[in-house]
This record gives sequence, structure tokens and C-alpha cells, in this order.
Amino acid sequence: MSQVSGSMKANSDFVIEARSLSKSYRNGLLRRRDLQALKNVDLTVRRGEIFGLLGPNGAGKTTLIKLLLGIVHPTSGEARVLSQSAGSRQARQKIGYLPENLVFPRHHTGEGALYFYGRLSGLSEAAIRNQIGPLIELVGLKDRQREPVRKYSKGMRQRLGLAQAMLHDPEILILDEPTDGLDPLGRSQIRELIEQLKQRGKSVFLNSHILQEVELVCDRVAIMARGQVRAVGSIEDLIERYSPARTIDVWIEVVGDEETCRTLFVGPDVQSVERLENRNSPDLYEEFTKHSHFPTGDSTLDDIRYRIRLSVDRQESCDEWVDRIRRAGLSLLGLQRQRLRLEDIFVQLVENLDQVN
Amino acid sequence: MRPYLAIIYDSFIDAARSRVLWVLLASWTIVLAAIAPFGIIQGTTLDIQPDQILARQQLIDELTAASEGKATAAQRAVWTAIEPSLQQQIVDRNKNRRGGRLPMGQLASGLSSVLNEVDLYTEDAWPTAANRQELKGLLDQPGSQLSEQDLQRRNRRLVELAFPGVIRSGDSSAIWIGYAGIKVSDPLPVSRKQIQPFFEGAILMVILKIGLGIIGVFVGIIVTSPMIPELFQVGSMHLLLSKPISRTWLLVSKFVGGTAFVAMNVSFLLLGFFLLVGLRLEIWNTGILWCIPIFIFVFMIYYSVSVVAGLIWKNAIISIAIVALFWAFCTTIGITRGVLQTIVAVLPEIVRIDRFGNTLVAVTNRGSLQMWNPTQSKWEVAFGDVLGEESILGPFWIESEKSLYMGRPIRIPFGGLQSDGIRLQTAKLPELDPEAPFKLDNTPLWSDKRIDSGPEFPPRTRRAIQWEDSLVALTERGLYALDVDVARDADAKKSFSILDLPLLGGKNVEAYKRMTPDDWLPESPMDICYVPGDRFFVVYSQGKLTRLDPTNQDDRFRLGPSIDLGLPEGSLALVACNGSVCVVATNKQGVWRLDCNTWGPATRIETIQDCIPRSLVASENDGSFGLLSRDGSLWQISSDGSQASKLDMPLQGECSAIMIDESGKWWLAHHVNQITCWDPIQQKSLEDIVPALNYLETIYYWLVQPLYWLNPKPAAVDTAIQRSLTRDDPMSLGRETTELQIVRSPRDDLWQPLWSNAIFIVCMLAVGSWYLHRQDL
Repeated sequence: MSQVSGSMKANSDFVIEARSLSKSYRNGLLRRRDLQALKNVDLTVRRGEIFGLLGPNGAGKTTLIKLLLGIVHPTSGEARVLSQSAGSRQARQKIGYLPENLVFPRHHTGEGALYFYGRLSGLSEAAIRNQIGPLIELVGLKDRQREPVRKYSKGMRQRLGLAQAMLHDPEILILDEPTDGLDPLGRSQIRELIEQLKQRGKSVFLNSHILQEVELVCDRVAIMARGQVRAVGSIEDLIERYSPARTIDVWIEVVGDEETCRTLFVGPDVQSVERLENRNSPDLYEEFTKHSHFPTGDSTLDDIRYRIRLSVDRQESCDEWVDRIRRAGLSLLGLQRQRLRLEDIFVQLVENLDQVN
Repeated sequence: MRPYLAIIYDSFIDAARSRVLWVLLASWTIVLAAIAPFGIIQGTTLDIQPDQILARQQLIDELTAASEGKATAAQRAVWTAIEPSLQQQIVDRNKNRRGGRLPMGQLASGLSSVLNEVDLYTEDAWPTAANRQELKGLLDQPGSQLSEQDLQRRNRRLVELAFPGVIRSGDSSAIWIGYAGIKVSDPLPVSRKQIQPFFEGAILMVILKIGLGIIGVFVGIIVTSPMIPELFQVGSMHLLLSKPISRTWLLVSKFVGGTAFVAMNVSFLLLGFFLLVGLRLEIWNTGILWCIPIFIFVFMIYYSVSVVAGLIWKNAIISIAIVALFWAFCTTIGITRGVLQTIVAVLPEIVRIDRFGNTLVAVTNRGSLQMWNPTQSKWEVAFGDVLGEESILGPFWIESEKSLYMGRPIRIPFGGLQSDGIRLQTAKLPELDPEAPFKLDNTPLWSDKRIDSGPEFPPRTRRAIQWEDSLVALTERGLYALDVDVARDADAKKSFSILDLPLLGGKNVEAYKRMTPDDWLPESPMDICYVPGDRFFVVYSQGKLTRLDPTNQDDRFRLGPSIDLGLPEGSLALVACNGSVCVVATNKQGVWRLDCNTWGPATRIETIQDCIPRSLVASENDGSFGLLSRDGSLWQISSDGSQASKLDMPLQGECSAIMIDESGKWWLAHHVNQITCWDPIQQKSLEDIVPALNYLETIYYWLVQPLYWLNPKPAAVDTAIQRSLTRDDPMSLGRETTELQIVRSPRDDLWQPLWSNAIFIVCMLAVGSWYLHRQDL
């Protein structure tokens, strides 16, 4: 986690800085009680990076975004955006924001909405006119911009929302679930778009539920749970930090007869063996671990497919296993080194917190 | 500024998408298109109009005489030609005094039927007609050879000659209501000029106050109320607030946007209405255009409530409901205050003061006669309220009778539809000792024990003033004096008789004797004053100032010099004279002075500007004049009329009545029912009469009035609508009034509601802005 030390001084390397940021909502009319949405959040986003914000529902992600935009006021702590106080007009001038569940006024056309939000951002008519054409094309709404937004699908509205966020060429884009409602092709386009923004030196603050998406595009991520930032850093850093042990997990897929395999795949490295009955029915398997029997079936077959998980302490051990397989005359279908995924870290952090609480 | 203009424009477009609005606009356009062909068709008619019959009773009497063969030959000729149904009615009426009513309209149309009679004229019946200039060329040939128009013109003049002084010579112009150029009504007995105030005062007010003031405002609220709640849709609001705009100005821009939208629609409607009324009725009332900003302002008041309700509850339906509740609250407060104000502050306001001996007498707006009871510090009602907008005439102190006389309006039972449904009856309060401080018989009001009814005033009495030891009535047929002896005889008959019912004509019309020549027929508006020392009257009549000089006979006066002041037609005026100088205060052309000896030239007193007179009196002490204007300000005019100045006193602008006593002290009524005796020489108050508050007055002044003051009072803006639509001329068709001493509308400051409402709007927006600022969205 990047810590912000000392008093909040403007740092041009950071586009977003949050220090001890807390937010409580008051609920109830008669018996008022506080609901703490954010607890002492410290966070920085560097200039030009794509930063992903992860967390389960109710983690405080949207509250954090609202605080950065000045839509809600912090209970304590401070946040700065582009060296300006978060929520100040100067800060908002340089932010492009795509909210979650974006709703456009029903009376707008796509183009009309862009004109409206462009004017709100202080753009001149000429500037809006010049920007609209390329943006419409970029987000894939060409030939549809004159239609009323009430006839737009959710995906189209999302594309239009992205266009309005980029219209005034902001320095930082805060995108809340940008691929929500998009088809796979649309998601891919959005990812490309985010990459392009990064290449143009823009900073992107991405809030998404789709971990794979975050993994694919983000330079750094923060994982939030219960109003707290549980982890922040690059994905490699997180894997490094949260891998349970210094072992290498390897998946091997082979084809051979049962007897050879039973003889070969024994010992402390073997974690599990799955029998995939035959090539034509790969979904039929029986799991075997060292604590149970080797998976058996029709022993007369000589092209049974097996998937084996090995756990080795070094690369040489892995190479030895490949040699052994080849020597035994088994056909090696595949070998995959198993690495810790972001999802694993996410689940681990969130579940740990749940268990603690 | 660009972002906020964008919000205003966007709000405008947002509201313009409302279907409710377009349905209403379409309906309004259809209504306008439907009423567009209506118009006024002006033309000439020779028919006798009801208002041209000056003396109904006399006409009936003369026709009755003609039916019996007793009247003049001309009248008998007219009788013969009159339509049989009217003849029958008059004969029946003569046989049996309960033979039914004869409305003016029926009498006029019956007489008009004579106009088409080809054989009406005979030289025997109208021996002098041939000498008449206007009949030259029309009498030479038989009626059958005259064109219809000429025949009617000839017969009309003959009828006028047959009944001199009874039927006014008409200008023959009339108007009809037309639809697409086709006359759809009988000729209306009014001029185009007369219909204008009626239209402006009644129809326009109803259309604009109810149509736009209530329905229009609520449609505007319904259309614009979703604006704020829609703003709070999660995805929409967050996106808006992420833009570099201020929340306060976002709210204000939304407000202005909604208002601009309503402004455009109101402008469209009223501009259309203005053009329609102007093109079709030739009434180019720019007040309609003034209503545009007024309505926008009224809308802003309600819309500010809708905006704040929308911010808090984020629901359009609740916003509309809150606005409706707000409207109901304001209306309730406004109505309560209006009713109480009328009861407590308007109707009891003193409009005339008099002093008989030690007894102070006052007449109020509601027409009641009150006497001051110093022991109980309150006004005692001597004669109760008068119905309608009539007022009593007088009071007059007749020394020989030791009685207080007055003209009291009496309503004829079931006679409400008749044009002369209200008559003036002479009445007196007996047994009054003017030297005693206060003495009033404590019998209940309306009891015949207290009020002795006397003879009826002459028809069309416009003014009555004290004259020597009697009183005179100025009517459209001249000046009449009350014969006190005859009145006393009438009073002597104490027994109550069915014959005394006003339905049957009241008592002794002969109690009034004509004082002026028969052919002198003054026209309304008129006013009169009497100079006791020089024994002459000064009469103002339709812009002319005439002196009525005494003759050898005490009760006969001849026409003296007359001067035309050159005032616009229909100018109202009050006159006062101190014997050497006559002062005329007009409602349109300021105040004039005139030398009584030379009777001219009339010069304007330039120091008095913008003064609509309410009361004008001459001091018997030093000959100076006191002028009270409708706005309550007091002017003193020097005895030679050359100088005038506003009185330097604390009651300036607050007075409602003025009287100068024989010692030159000014008695001023103010603050509804208070009276102050003011010495103009010492410049100080000599006596203050302040009655104690009754419980209703206490509630009004201490509860309702403060509550109303705090209330935003959107309804009070109606006054502005009324003032912009109607002119300040009290002439109107519904009330054939020529009075300057009309009941004053409550003297609320026109600008006060505007200010208080503007403050209310700003406060509501400030509250909304504060709420929006502190809210986490």
C-alpha cells in the first residue's frame, strides 16, 4: 500500500491522493445511527497509470469515488485530485466521470446529450462540435447519435457515457463499471480504449467487478472491503505478497495406460491425479489424491488421459518430471505452471476480513 | 456562465416535452379560435333604450292619461300607435294597482314599436313640429313614402316631443354582439366605451384570474415539478455534480429554466389574447401584457415551493401536493384576512363626518349612520347597514324639525332585476337633541319606532345637500327641494299601511318640488354645492360648471352663467364654493378655480398634481378649501384659490373623510373609525376620538394581520392584475355610478406583496441551496 506521509502536500506525481479518508452516513429518522462507509483510507494514484479499485458490494468503492468528485463530503481526512482539493471546481474541471447505472435525461438525443455535458464542462460550441465526430466514432455510436437516448440499449448508453467522460479531454478518467452491459466485443473495445488513454498520458481510475478485466488492463489495483483498503499495488506485487508458500504448482496432462501412470505418479510431489476417461469424453474423470486410491476404470484401455497436479520446490524438479514422463513412454499433452490469480488474492483478503469480524 | 445557460436551456426543453402542456396549449388555441369570430358590431339604432327614459313613473302616468283620453293630442297619438300588449298592461295597471310590474326594457321596446308607424304624424297633434330643424323635410311627405330610416328618425323625434323631459334625445348609436359579422344579440343599451370597463373589469378578470392565475399556474407546476426529482436520479445527479458547476447555481438555473418555460407559454397565451381582444373588440388593453410578468411572478412563488419540496422528497407528486397545500394555506389566510378586512377595516371606514351641536355623526362605507357615544367611547349605530354598494344620502339637520334627515336606499321586493330596483327614501331620526352630547333611542335597528320613513326622493337623484332649512336633490331632471311640511304630514301618518310599501311607489312624490326650469336636464356625472350667503348653487354636469341663481320665488332658481371646462367626456368632479371662488376637483384633469363674479376663465391649480378627489369642502370661517384625495392625502387651498399646499400633519395619507366646522377646525376621519380635530393655524391636534377595539377588531389587528404579513401572499398579486387591467376610472357598466366617494378598495400597498413574495422566493431558493449543499447524494 502506498502510504501518504506527513501533511498533504501537492505531489505532481500523483493524480489522486487520499489520506485518512473516512465517511460515515447517518441513518434512521428517530433512532439515528452511523454507518461507516470508509475507514481511514490512504491511497494514491500515479500520473499516467490505470488504477483498478476492487471490492465486494458495500465495500465503499462508490463512496470513495463520490468523495473524490465532491458529491459527498468526508467525515474526516482529506483527498486531493490533481493537487486540488477533491470536489473543488478546478479538480472537477479535469475529471471525466462515467457513473455506474448512468441515466441520461430522456429528452436528449445522443448528440444533444454530448452538447449538454460539453457545455457543463465549460467547452465552447466549436470545441464540442470538433470533438463529437471522432468521439462518436471511437465509442461505436456512429449513425446512432441523432436517436433519442431513451431508445438506446444499456450498452449504447454506456458508450455514450464514455464519450461524454472523454469529451473535454480530462487528465483523469474515473470509470465506474465501464463495461457494464457491454457485449464481449464491446468490452474488448473498451479495454483497447483504456489502453489508448494510457498511451496518451491519461490516468484512469477504474472501478470494476470483473477481476479478469482489471487484471488485464490495470497497472495497480486496490482491494477494498468493509470500507477499508486491504491491499494496494501492482498485480505481480500482490501475487508475490500473498502467495502462500515458495513452491511451484504445475499442471501436467498426459495420455497413457493406467498401469504406467499408477507406477509413475507417486511420491510427495504429486498433489492430485484426475482421470479424464478418454479423449472423447474429457469431462468424465475421477479424482485421486495421495490420501485415496488412484483413479481406476477400464484398465484395458491404453489411451487414458490424466491430469496431474504437482508441487515442486524448484524448476529442476519440474524438468525431471518431464524427463520421467517421456522415459515412461507417456504422451505429454500439456504442462502449465499454476500461478496465484488476482481472484484468489481478492477472495483471500475479503474472506479473511469476514472471518476476523 | 455557459454551463448554467446550458442547464436553463435544458430545463426549458425538458419541460417542453410535457404532453400535458401540449394538450392544454392545443385546447387553448381551439378556444381562442372558437371565440375569435365574436366581436362588437357598432351601428345606429333609433329604438328607445331603457336608459333614455328619464322618468318612468311620469311616462306611465302620461300614457295612462292618454289611454283615458286626457293627455295631449301628441301623447294620445303615440298611445294609439303603441303595441297592444303594452297598452293592455298599462290599462290593467291603472285599473288595479297590482297589475304587474312594467320593466324599463318592456316600456322602451313598447314605445319603440311606434317608430315604424307610418301614420303617426298629424299636424294637429304636433303643431310645432314643423318648426324643428331636425324634422325639416321629413314631415312634408307621407310616412309611407319615407325610407324606413327616415320614418324611424321622424317618429323618434315626434315621440320625444310628445313626452318632453321624459325621453332623452338619443344619439342613436348602439352596439350588437356579433359572431363572424352576424348580429347575435339585440342592440345593447351601451356604448363601446362603456362596454370596455365592463369587459376589462369582469370578463378579463375572470378569464385571467381563474384561467391563468389558478389553472395556468397549476399546469405550470404540474409540468415543471418533475424537473427537480428527475435531477436526483442516481446516474443523472452524480454525473451533473461531477461537472465543474456550483450546486447553488445548478438549482437556480433549474428554477430559471422552469420559469423561462412557463414565461414563454404565458407570453404566447396572453399575447394571443391581447391581439384577439384588440382586433375583435378594439380593446387594446396593455394591462393584458402587464399580466405576463405578474403571472410569471406568481408562478415563481409556487414553483419555489415545488423546487424545495422536490429537493426534500424527490417526488413530483408530493411536490404538487405540497404546492396545493401551500396554495390552500395562503388562500385561506388571504380570504380570512380579506373578509375580516372588509368587515373590520373597509366597511366601517368613515366616509362623511358631520357635527350637529355637540353630537358627532359619521357615515360609513357600508352606509350606516353612526353617532359618537363619548361615555362608552364607541360609535352607536343610529341607522343600520345599507345593502349593496349604495350609501345613504346625508345626513341633513333640519332645525325647524329638530330632526336628522337622510336619504336611505330601499330595495323593492322582487325588484332586483329592475333597473330602478333601489329607491331612495327620505327618512329621519326623531327626538334628537343636538345640544346634548349624545342621545339615541335604544330601540332595535330597523325598527319603525326609530326611523320615520318619509317621501321618496325624485327619480335619478344623484346628489342631495343641505339647503337652508331643508334639503335639495340634484337629479337628471333638475334640482328638487324637499317640502318639509309635506314630509311632516307624511310622518304624521304613523299607522303602517300596505300602501306605504315601496312596491307601490312610496309616499308623496310631490314632497319634492322642482326648483329649476323644466328644460334644464343636467347629465351625469354631476355634483352640486350651495353658497348660503349668496344663495346660489353651483352645479357641475358633464364637464360644465353652471351657476343657479335665485329668483324672486324662494324655491325657484334660474340658470346663471355656465362654463365648459373642456374636460374629457365622463370626467368626475367635486365642486365647492365660498361665495367668491369656486373650486372644481376633477379625476382626470386636476383641480380648477373659477371666479364666481366673472364666472371665468377657469384656471388650473398647478400645485395639485395626481390627485383623484374624494372630498372637497369650503370653510365657512375663512373661505379656504379642504381637499381630500383618494389616497388619503390632504390639501389646503387658499380662499382665493391661488395657492394650494399639502397639509403638514401626521395623518397625511391616512384620511378618509374631512369636515370643516364653523370655527375653521378640520375634523378628519382616519384609521377606519378614528376622528381627529385639527387646528390648521396652530398646526396641532385638538381632540382625538379613538373607539375601543371590539373582539373582531382585536382578532384582525393582533392575529390575522400579523399572520398575513408573514405569509408570502401570492394571491395579493391579484391586486396588481386588477390594477393593470382596469383603469382608475370608477365608471362601469354594472354600477351606474358617478361617485367619487365610492367605497375605497383596501389601501394595501401594491408593491408590498411584490417585495414580500420576492423575499419569499429568495428564501425558498436559499433553503433549497443549503439543503442541496449539505446533502450527501
